[in-house]
Amino acid sequence: MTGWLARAVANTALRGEEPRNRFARWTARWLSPTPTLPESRFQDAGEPFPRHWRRFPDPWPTIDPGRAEVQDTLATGIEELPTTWREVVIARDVLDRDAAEVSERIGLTPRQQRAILNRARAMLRERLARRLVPNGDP
Amino acid sequence: MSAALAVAAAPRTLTRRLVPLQVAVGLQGIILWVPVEKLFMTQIGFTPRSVAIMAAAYAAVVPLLEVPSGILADRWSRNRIMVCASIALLASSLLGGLSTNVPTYIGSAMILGVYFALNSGTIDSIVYDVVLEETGSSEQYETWIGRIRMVESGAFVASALAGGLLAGWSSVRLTYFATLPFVAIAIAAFLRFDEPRLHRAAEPVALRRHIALTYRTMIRAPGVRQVMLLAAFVGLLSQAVFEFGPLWLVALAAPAALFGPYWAGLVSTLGIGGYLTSKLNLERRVTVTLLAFAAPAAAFALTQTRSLAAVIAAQTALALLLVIISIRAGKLLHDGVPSNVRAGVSSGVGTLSWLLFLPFSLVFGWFARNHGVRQAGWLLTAAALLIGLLLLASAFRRRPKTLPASDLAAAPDEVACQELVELVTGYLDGVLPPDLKDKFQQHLNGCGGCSEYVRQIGLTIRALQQANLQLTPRPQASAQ
Repeated sequence: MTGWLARAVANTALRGEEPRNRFARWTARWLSPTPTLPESRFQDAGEPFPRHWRRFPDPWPTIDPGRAEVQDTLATGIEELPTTWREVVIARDVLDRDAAEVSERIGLTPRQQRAILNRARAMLRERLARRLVPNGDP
Repeated sequence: MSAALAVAAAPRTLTRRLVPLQVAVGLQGIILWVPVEKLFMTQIGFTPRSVAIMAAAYAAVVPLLEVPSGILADRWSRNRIMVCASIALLASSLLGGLSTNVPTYIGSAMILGVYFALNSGTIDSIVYDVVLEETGSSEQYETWIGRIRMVESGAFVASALAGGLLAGWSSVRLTYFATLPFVAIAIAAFLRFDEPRLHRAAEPVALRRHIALTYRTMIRAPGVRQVMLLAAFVGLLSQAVFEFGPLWLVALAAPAALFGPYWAGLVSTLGIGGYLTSKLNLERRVTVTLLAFAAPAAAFALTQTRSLAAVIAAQTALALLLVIISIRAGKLLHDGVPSNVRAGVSSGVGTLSWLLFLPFSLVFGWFARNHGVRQAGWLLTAAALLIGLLLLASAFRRRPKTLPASDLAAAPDEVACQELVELVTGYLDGVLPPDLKDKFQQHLNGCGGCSEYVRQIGLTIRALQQANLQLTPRPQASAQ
């Protein structure tokens, strides 16, 4: 009797966990509740294409990534990142270290490391965009 | 399963970084004069009328200052706002301890109001951003804010006991001065805390636009508005339980000796609730649904029972549930709000709940006088029902974040731009599951905005590869 009850409770609880379809289940693990870009960049539920860009990011002019202007912008941008984000982005992108090694050294799970890198890159991209297309949509 | 494991792992840096904050919050919670304040006030000549004037003066200061101080915290420094708050607490305790008459004490109470206003919404904004900085996501926010609430309430309970003992052993006035060293050390601990910088990473905005943005976020964004209402009603109801709960005991002619343990139980729910929140998985709809039904049930019990034990149990349960729900509401609120207006918006909850509490308390008072306290429990039940509904709405509106309920049929076939932006790094690292990777590529091929975004991320990475930067080790880090 108790065994049956416990199983019933466990099953009910699991059913509550089941998102409505398969797709939502995978992505739930990959998406963070805190968005990487401000939600205002995307259309709301009432607009024609919810969750799609409200306005596309403006295209960049052809650039030489080594150009002083670009490098200066990046240097200031990196300077302003939170310490852990800076460590991750420098190790992964500047020093080209392996993801697993970086997670291990800083003491992050691979998922945390990836989330941080994604945010740090997005923030640096936005800085560059503001510099390269001064009056556009970054 | 793997998600649960990932949530459990707190990076070393996060744990280490939050130590000074916990020390500071704990020390700031040691306010030894709280349990004997009423006694001291009668000693220096307060009458019921002057107590009411003080309450009014106090009630005016807090809501007026809350949002402005939150905006200041976002623009200047949240840490320094906490230092200012501690200084206000220091000044208030000092002036209170030196008071020999009513007007001086009212002055000290108003300075205490400044302390509360500066405090409101600041700690949870700090914790949220630190968790985001150290883990890249907000999943561990509830765990950590729960721990901090636990430390805080532990300090409240300890100082309530110690304050009573100290007053009995020497004098009531001494409790005010004995509080000072604790607050002073709290200031030192706040200064040692490495505060988050995310709220300052955005481009500087003019003050006027910043204020407008803060209010717009509170009022216009539908998700934020709903959660603010939830959080404010939770604030209102827990204030009502703490403020009016003792009336039930009075109506049932409880012995005076019972009030002490009763109060200790009520206050300790702040900490126990924090602890439970850190153990519960509030992403689960089942858990949230149970909370949403349990809160009105506990309030309903207050309208039905005449047993003292049941009243105390129901009130304690209600207070406990409200603590858990309030932490949940805080998480949802912060999730929907950008860093640069976080403390401002979060303080808005405090103000809103004050504004709601004033009429509520008037109606409650009138109702309780005319129909008895037990009947007035229906007002609490109504508020709890509303909270339950708002909580359910938040749970069932949030999960399908990936797919708006309207296009269930269409959504599984695609990744929308907003998801793609979150998945870029996983894609570039080649770690997405095959199905998701296909969807990602499909979307990328068909979407000009996203292919431009990903191209720009690629250019950013290429520029970073050419950068001449070295890893500067953390000052205190002995990484191995």
